[in-house]
Amino acid sequence: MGIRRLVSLIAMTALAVSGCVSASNSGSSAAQPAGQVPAKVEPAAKIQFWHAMSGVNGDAVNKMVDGFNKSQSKIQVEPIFQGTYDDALAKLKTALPSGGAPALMQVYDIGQRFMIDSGEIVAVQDYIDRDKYDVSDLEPAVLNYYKVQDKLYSMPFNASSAILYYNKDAFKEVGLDPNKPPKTFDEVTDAAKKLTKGTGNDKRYGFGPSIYGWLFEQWIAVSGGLFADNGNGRDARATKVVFDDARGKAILDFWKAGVDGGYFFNPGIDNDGAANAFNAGKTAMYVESTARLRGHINAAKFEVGTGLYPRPNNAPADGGNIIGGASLYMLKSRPQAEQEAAWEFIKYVASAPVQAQWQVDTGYYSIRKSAENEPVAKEWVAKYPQFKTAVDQIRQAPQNRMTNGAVIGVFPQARARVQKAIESTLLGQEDSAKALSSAAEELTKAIDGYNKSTGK
Amino acid sequence: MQTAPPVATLSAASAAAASAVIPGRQPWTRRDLRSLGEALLYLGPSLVLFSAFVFVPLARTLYLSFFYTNPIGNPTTFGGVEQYVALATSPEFLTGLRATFLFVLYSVPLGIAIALVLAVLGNQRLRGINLFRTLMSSTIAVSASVGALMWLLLFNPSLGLLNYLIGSIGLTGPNWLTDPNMAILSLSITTIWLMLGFNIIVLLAGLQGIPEELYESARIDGAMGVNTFRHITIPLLSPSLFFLLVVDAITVFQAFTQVRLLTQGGPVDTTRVLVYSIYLDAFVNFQFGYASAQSMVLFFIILLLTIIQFRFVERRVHYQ
Repeated sequence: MGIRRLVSLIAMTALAVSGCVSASNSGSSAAQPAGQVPAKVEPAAKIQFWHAMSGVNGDAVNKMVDGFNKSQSKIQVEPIFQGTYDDALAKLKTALPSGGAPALMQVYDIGQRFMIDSGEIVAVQDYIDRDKYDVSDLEPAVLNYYKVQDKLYSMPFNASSAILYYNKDAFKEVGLDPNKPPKTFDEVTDAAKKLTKGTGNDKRYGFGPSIYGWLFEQWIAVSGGLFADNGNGRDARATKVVFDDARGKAILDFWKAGVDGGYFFNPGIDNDGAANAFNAGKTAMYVESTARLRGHINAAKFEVGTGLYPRPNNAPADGGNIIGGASLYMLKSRPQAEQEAAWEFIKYVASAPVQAQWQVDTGYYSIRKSAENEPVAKEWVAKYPQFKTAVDQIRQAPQNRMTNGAVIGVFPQARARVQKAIESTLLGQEDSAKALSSAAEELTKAIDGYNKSTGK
Repeated sequence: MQTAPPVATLSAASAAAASAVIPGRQPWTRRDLRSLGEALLYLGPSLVLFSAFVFVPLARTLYLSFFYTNPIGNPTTFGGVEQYVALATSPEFLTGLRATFLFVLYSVPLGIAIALVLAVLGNQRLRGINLFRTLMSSTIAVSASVGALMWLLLFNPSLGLLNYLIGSIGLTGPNWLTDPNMAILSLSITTIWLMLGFNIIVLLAGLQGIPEELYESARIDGAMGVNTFRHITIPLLSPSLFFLLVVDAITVFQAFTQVRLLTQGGPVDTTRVLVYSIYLDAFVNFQFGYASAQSMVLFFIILLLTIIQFRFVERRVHYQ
């Protein structure tokens, strides 16, 4: 083989591989020192808003933005869908160094620690303080989730909760009370056994949650447990994860027993697959975010019931659900005029009429308590009482470090790693305790690396 | 393969430049300089493009692989070869490596074999054969994401057509994507399907380039179907087969879309192929250094494999 061919070979493979990792540049200028309350300036005429809402929820975002653009003449917001939460955050990370960040960004709940540590955001608290904006009407659970050491870094936007969805027609068919969904692990197991029937293509499973780390995090909180140390990373920076105890084990054991017994369906990590199986009547119950509610009501050919998130047996009273969803961050690298425009949009989004409409269009509940008095919300809840479940649940949850939720920098990685632990337990490759302890060990190492890389 | 001509010219140019400094040669004349300038002018666009999209990112990847980065992706501390050591001792990486090789092993030979059968069938002179050729090669027009989503529906355990068909004959279909023994196979099935159109087109073109007289004289000598296939078709098709072997292997090594959409590396890392692992570490875990080290490993694996293919397999290729 001649040298020339070797050179061309190297070039060819280089071309093949170099697409894999894009270079990231250094440097980002601080527009203003952190924590300083900015003096008011004229808002920019046009800003970008990156979001991660697709399907009916994406339509609802566009409707909301449209409403804002028409409500006044000074500011035009351009909504840009950037893929899933993970994809959107990855795009933001790569856009930051090149100055391509938007003025306003929707980031999921678990991206909070990273966004704060990035030093790339302006805390909305600065604007709240400056304008004496009243946050006392916001849902306490939501506010508590996004307040880190008493400071609100982002504005809550879409708030969800994990709830139980069940097929009321199937309940009636097997003689279960369609107005009494199961409340505990034992009750879910019993109901699932009764609801499971048929074989082959006609088989219906009683319960079919996807392997979704968020569901595990919820169950840990409901069991009265922390996900990470130092008060879930809220009293001080978290140094390790602590879910590998009896609580975590009970969750996985419940799950595995159901799958092994043939009355829980395992759709894998595919959340859409779990939702589709429920819509198609292949599963009679499952747990997922309230954000799916509107989609289920539209798609299912049966009466969709909603119930409180099932609790582990003997869960203590101080356990409860964590909120989910996402919030809006203002980016520091944009000129202050754009931040002002973003702030105007945030205030519009957080207003009661807009929140009421948002709840109706999506299934997320309103971040504002008074939104439930809006006519559109009243009418809707009267028609579909299922939409009330999430709010009830989140108001019932006692407010403490467990239910405030964890704030750790490597949360996306932690969620994926927990999913792997659930998978290996369900597949019988590891017993639940071993699967959780090896996940915890790995994640504690990752937290350590993260804390070091941020210099804290 | 489109990269070969410019780079070949490039190395020719650099050879010319190198000869200029060899002692005993005539010094550069004005004409030489002018032709060098002219050459650079012609090469300019491709040099700029290759630098921007290949050489600079490659150098940057190598550079990053020696560093630890902060969550934004900026290099912070120099780690030397630590990332590579971490890789070599990571069970996750080794599982991923194994998955990558299995993925290539399942997808490439079978993908070429199926395409060969279909191409030979499609090479018949029959009325309306063009319709079949178009149908069989149509997967080339399907993007990897659309193809993967289609297969995601087919594989769906509760609503998928595959398990419905299997179920309707009274058997229980496998858990295509959630069974750790099946997932990599399911990915390979999808990949074979995605590559099929391209493979068929290349092989059909190769088949049509085989002179008809060879078959005629073989027939006169009394050779029958299998013999002509073995002794005429295969040798004369070997350049196309070899080309596919190299290109398909590189394609599968780099396959990302179907992994992302079908399995996301799971269940329990059984499909965490190298490219997906790079994606996870770079864009989810934001450890650019670690991801860059994996990229370099992938680069050398593909380079090495391609060299081996050229050294050993190409000997058996019969160029006309």
